[in-house]
Amino acid sequence: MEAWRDTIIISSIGVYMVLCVGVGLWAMRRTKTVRDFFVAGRDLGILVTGIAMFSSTMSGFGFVGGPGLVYALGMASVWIVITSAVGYAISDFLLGKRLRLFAGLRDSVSLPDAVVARYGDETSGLLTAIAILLGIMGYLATQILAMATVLQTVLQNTGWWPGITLVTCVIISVSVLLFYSVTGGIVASVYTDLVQGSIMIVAGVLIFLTTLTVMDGGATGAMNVLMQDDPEGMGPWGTIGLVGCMSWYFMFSVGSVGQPHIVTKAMMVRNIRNYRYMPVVTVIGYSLTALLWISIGLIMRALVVSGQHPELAAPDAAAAEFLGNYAHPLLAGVVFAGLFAAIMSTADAFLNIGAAALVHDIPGSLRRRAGKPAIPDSLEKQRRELFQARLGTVFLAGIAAAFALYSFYVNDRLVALLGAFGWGTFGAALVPAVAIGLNWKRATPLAANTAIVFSLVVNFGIEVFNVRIPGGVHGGTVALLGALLLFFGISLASKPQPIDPEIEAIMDI
Amino acid sequence: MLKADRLVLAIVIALSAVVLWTIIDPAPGGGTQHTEFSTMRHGGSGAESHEGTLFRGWLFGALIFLSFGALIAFGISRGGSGGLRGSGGLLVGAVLAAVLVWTWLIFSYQSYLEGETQTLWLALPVPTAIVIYILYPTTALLNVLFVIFFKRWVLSEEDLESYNQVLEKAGASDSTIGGGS
Repeated sequence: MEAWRDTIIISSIGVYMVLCVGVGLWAMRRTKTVRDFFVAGRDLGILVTGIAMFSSTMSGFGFVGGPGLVYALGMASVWIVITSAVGYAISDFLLGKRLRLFAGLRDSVSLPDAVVARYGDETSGLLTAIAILLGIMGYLATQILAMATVLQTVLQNTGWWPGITLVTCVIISVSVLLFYSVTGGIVASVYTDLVQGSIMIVAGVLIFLTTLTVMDGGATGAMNVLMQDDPEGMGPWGTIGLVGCMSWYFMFSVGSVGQPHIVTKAMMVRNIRNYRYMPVVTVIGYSLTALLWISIGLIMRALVVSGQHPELAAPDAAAAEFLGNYAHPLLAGVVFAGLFAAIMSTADAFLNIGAAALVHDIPGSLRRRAGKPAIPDSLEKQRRELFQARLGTVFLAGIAAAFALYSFYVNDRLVALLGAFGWGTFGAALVPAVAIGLNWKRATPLAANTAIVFSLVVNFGIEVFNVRIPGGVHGGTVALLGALLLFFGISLASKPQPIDPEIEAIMDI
Repeated sequence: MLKADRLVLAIVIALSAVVLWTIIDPAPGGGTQHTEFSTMRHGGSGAESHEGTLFRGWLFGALIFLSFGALIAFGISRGGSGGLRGSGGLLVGAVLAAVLVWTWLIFSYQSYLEGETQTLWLALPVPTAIVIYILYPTTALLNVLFVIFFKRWVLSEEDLESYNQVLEKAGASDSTIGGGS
């Protein structure tokens, strides 16, 4: 079997990509209107939606960066992993029902649509769309770069295509991503997520079981090695300290409620009654997948510390090194496919909400200013918008791919900067304006707009000027708290704004 | 009675105060470069890193858990007939359980620093095991409450009726009520 390792890995990735293309072709027949393209016609079952939600959360960052974080920083990043249960709980209680009911009443197909419906203010919708567009660019470029780098590594290491360039790998991986994202929109996205999420769960569980067998004495043996080297690093705060860990915990749990690629999926559920089972899918799915994050990071650290494996070239190589040296070839094949799955499931969600911002939210905001509905009323115009949505998806992917290559060859700080900018910006901008605002009648458009602008300025400032907050506090936590304070303060200090009676009735439910 | 929005605001103010306190008076540090491996950080001395800051860290964590409870209560409370409907004690209980586990974790870490609990629980040092095996499942209780009390706290049949009426008035249609599962 070992002799077939390379063939198995390449075949697994090939089969996975063909599967994605197949789903894209199938979904194309189900995508007839712009509603289908952006919210799957609000016709998804809870299992599909739940798996799409957790697999969009666990991006390439989780499968590549996660083990790297544990390898480099000890147990600190466990605080990011364990935010999943509470993050989904807050999101479900605050936003799940609310977004779905707004979508049903006002035919909303995006978060900015819901924001405009809530505040009756086009500027709020426009700012939300701009924040989403800015936030996703770095994320998307990071995901594309990760896909291309993994593909290049696999093709070179296996000897299947030793001279392949990164540009070719970007073209191959983006072509597959684009094919199903353009043909099937969010329908293809969520159904590929179903495949991707399932692969990720299997990969997470099997890798965890494998890591138990790598070192003498199993997990306890590995931990004894690590404890001898660095007991504090294996303690609950790893190598970054208590306050640093807790600021991650706050930012990643409460901030998750503002992640548009995750919460928007609540608008796609067919029967709101079944929403009650959402956490069963999301929490269990995420928890099983996250086993890979912790177990690979710990075992690679133990192997290196004990001298059984040479030091890694970079922390992010932890997963690839483990798969290449310690996983059964079949498992390595599944996990490499899972790695692409993790990256693509997040990238397709970003592409879709980005295209919505580009061709629906911003023009829709201008249309509404002119007194026309956000979604054109005639079928012909809707078809035209569907075509524009597909065109927008291609345009966004093209820009992100160029951005990724520019970052790789010219300025590597650019994508890292915008990638880091994403989560904190979404959290600080959208938790007040969306998560609180959709539940709180006292919230005003001025407060929402101020919180969004504050979030953009502060998060961008922190990244551009490389500001390090004393005491290990995460910059995103400072931005989130600041945005919340501004949002509450301005809302309470300003005159209450009248709310559309229908929206008020929905907020009473 | 304290309204959920005021409770969220009060906790956000308290959290901001703790963050400000940390920025003005930061802890000595959190780890150093590993002496042997350039790709790893080393935890260093936990006692030095956290000297005099354990209480502040506990307060920060406790406020974070309270913020979760407050945000959830905020999501449940609304202008209509809904809300916790007499079973709010369960939400309070779940949040208090998380705060208690958090407090246990801090005490356990204190013992860990003194070298008293270097034994392993299911292959992890005791305080780390508390995080993964006890704190995480405790916070997952919030998800369990969502599933169990969905019809009471989140969306009752009366709520769906009200929604239908709003849709009817607005001339909108939605498969939410009539649609299959």
